[in-house]
Amino acid sequence: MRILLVNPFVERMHLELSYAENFRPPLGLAYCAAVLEQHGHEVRIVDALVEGLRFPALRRLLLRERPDVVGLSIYSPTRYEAFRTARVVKQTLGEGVVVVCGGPHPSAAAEDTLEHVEPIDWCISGEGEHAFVELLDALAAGRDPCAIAGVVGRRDGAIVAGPPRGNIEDLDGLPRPARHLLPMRAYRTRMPSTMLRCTTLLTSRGCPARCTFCTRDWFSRETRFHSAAYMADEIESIVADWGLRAFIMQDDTFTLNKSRIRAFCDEVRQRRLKIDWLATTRVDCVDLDLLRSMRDAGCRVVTFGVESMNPATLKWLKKGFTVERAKTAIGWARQAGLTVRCSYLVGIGDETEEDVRRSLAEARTLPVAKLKANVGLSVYPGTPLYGMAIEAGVLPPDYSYARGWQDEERRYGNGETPRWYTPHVPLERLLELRRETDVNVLFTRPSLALVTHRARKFAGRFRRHPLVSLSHVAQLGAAALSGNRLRLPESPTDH
Amino acid sequence: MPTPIVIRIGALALRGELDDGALARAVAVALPLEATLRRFGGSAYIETPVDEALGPAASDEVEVGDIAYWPPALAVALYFGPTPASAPGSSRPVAASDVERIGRFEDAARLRETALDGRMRIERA
Repeated sequence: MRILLVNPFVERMHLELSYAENFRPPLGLAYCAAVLEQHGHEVRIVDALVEGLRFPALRRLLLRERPDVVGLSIYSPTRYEAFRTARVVKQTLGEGVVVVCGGPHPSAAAEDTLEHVEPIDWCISGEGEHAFVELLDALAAGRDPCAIAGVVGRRDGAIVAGPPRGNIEDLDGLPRPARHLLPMRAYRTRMPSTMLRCTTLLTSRGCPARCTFCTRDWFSRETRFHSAAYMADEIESIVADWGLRAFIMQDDTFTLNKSRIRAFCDEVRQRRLKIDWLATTRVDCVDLDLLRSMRDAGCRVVTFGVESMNPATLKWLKKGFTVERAKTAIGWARQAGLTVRCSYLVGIGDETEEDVRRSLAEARTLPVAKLKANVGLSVYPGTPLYGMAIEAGVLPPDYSYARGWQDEERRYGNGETPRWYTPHVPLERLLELRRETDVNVLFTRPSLALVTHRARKFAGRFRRHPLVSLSHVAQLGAAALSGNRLRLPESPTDH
Repeated sequence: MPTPIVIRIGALALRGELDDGALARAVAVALPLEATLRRFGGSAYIETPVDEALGPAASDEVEVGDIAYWPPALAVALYFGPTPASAPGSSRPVAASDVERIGRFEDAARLRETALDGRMRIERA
């Protein structure tokens, strides 16, 4: 079959500098593409986001390619754009084309999606590589795909779900993601600190942690790992094929299996790989020796999901570690010579104004290179926070993440994902507190490379979007004159 | 006072006991525990409502037959064989990250011989 996999275009992300310079390859689609190719399908990936492929261009491409099946990757913050992409596919190619969607959003809200978004024919819930192949086999053979594990569809007007699908246990058995189908040169993400152009790796799947806000709570709690040798082989192939020497490890908790990371660091040293890399992990899954070993193997930046310096908020978030442990881990990382970045949250749980003020003040004392304090939390489907939001009356019991997707005003607007804020402090006050503390983006050690890179980024953006850039400069100027700071839009990648 | 317990997984029932440390007592107060059984190689764990800090003796070193509290998952874990964190070829379990040992259970070999899925229940004997 001819399969077109699409990462949907999102106008607001394309125009926003902080996103546009940080688009990452859609590895989920690339893994699916690799498995589909293995099974003899003709596959093409269109990353409409990074290529700036708006709907008229997508229509032309669809008419040129005429795929039998279109697969869409859907995240909750950009689901409306993905739904509209599905509609454009059907309008352009007719009802004969099959539209399949997968990714975090349909994994959590497949039935809600199918109930409200008619152009989508099938949802895949969970890891999609094998389910997608089985779905295509069933369609080709005229069998009912509704019996396939992980597939959700419609039958006689009703929504029917196959049994839950188990996780893929042997990750090394998967082919490498089909990067040859991606516009690899279009991704401009740079490694913080060294500013080398970089790409992404996914070396494990799943996370056992029970963080209140995270979709992993139901999606993939049991962690599976690529072996150290597989990781090193993949890096070598990327260096050879694309000349990239910097990597962002996209794992939720990169160091969950410390012996694997030690083995990976040994592989990097033995093979004399000259690479830089960044990893994200938990403060309770590192020790000083491990961090030193990572530094020796090219790790430059470690990001910790610290989230709060308020013990009660850490409990509310079910982080499973203490403030002291967070400080210790940050200290170890600094001692090992790593640049440390933290994610941080305020205005959540039952925090009072005093709690928020103290938490922001504590955040400023952390010896980290970057800390971004997000106000409130997005409530994603299927998370513990979703249940809490229903219980607390933040969301109605019949809340739908898809109802109203056709509303013209909501197509490109922000704020489409409901958010949880502490009931004790008004949102405006929370934003004021964050501005007063000036902790939103805190660079304690801006390097010359960073400053130069930012200037080049701005110049590049100015060339591509002169009117938007001028408008932002005017806003910055107005904000400076009025003594206020410019409030940046909330990021769809915020928690 | 140690707390005698029974661990039930399907038709399998194993005896054990929680020791007398502060964390073990906090887990004992939360009994019975019942949740979906999850695996990390040769360890089986279930979530608990307990959310406590580890003591100074916490480490990733465990033995077959140990019961431990694992903070990232806020879970009680049973160790019965090598885990993905164990050294290659080693039969000794290693925890994914630091844990605190809170007790022991008997007949760990029976866990290795059983298909582990479904739910696990830990209750007072």
